[in-house]
Amino acid sequence: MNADEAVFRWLNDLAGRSDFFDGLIRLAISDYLIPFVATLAAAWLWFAGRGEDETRRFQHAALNGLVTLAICQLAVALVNIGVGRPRPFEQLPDVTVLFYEPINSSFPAHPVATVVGLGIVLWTVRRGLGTLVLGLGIGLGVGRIIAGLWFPTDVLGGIAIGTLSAWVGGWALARLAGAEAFIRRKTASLGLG
Amino acid sequence: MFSWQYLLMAFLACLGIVQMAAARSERRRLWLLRRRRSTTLLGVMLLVGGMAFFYLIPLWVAGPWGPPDPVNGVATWGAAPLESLTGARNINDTAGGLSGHWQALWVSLAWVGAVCFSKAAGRIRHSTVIEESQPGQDRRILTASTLGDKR
Repeated sequence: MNADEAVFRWLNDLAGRSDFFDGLIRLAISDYLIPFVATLAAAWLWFAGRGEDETRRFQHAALNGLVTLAICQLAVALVNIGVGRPRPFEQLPDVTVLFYEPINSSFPAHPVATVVGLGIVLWTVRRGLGTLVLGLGIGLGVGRIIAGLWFPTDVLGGIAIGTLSAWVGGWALARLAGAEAFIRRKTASLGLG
Repeated sequence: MFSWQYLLMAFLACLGIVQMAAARSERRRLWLLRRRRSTTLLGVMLLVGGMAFFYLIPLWVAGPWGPPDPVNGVATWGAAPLESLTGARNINDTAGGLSGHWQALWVSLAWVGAVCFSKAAGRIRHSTVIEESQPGQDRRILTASTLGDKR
């Protein structure tokens, strides 16, 4: 048994012991909760800035979040073409599954990549909010290992892709200063800046 | 049905986020209420209420989250029992749930809708406040702020 499988077994053994804990995990790993909350946190930045300087920094980060999201989706789609890893419940016997059984590749952990990418962008302008979103992203990863859906290396892959996407997104946006200025000018003219 | 419920949750949550952000930054034209604290509170209530609606409604509305079939254990069509509520919304996109792309589309639409709604409602509220103010009040405020203590 390799380290990946050993950690998976250790975490997956927590599932199926308590109805309350299983219910909590099912809620936390929902497709519609943590990724949605992370998106809302990034959207909040657009209107939350106080004063000219903070508004500029926050709106830059909000646009960075959008670019990071796009890069992250592209990166995961490209990795999925090259890597088609079966889910733990497809590979191993006696896995407790707390979720529906997805049919796509286990690697990388797509929602974790998305949430971590947004969390890093948020962390650059609001340390507390960014840390919270990063924590939620890692919690989502651990929760889905407990639920029998991912191996630990899938989650690490998701974290790596999210981090890389945030870095590439920041780099790309820095080279698109003209486009950013245009978007901010247009939204300001509509009273939405 | 699932999509509409998701869209409604997204709209309410986005509206809440717009209100919370606008209250923080004093963008009064987006406020739905007059005071900053009540705008923030409304934002929190819309955010929490929208998400609570989405996760609690399977208790009352029938869907593919009903009690498990005693033979094969697959969820039947019906209202969700309380004990399986937390997992009721975990539906694969191939079985009536939403894929990531559709979620992105609905959230984008909800965000645009929430911003437009806040702006329109804020404009109406703002014009009502001006109409309610006494005649000559604007001039008095302008004079006071211009002359200050010299007056």
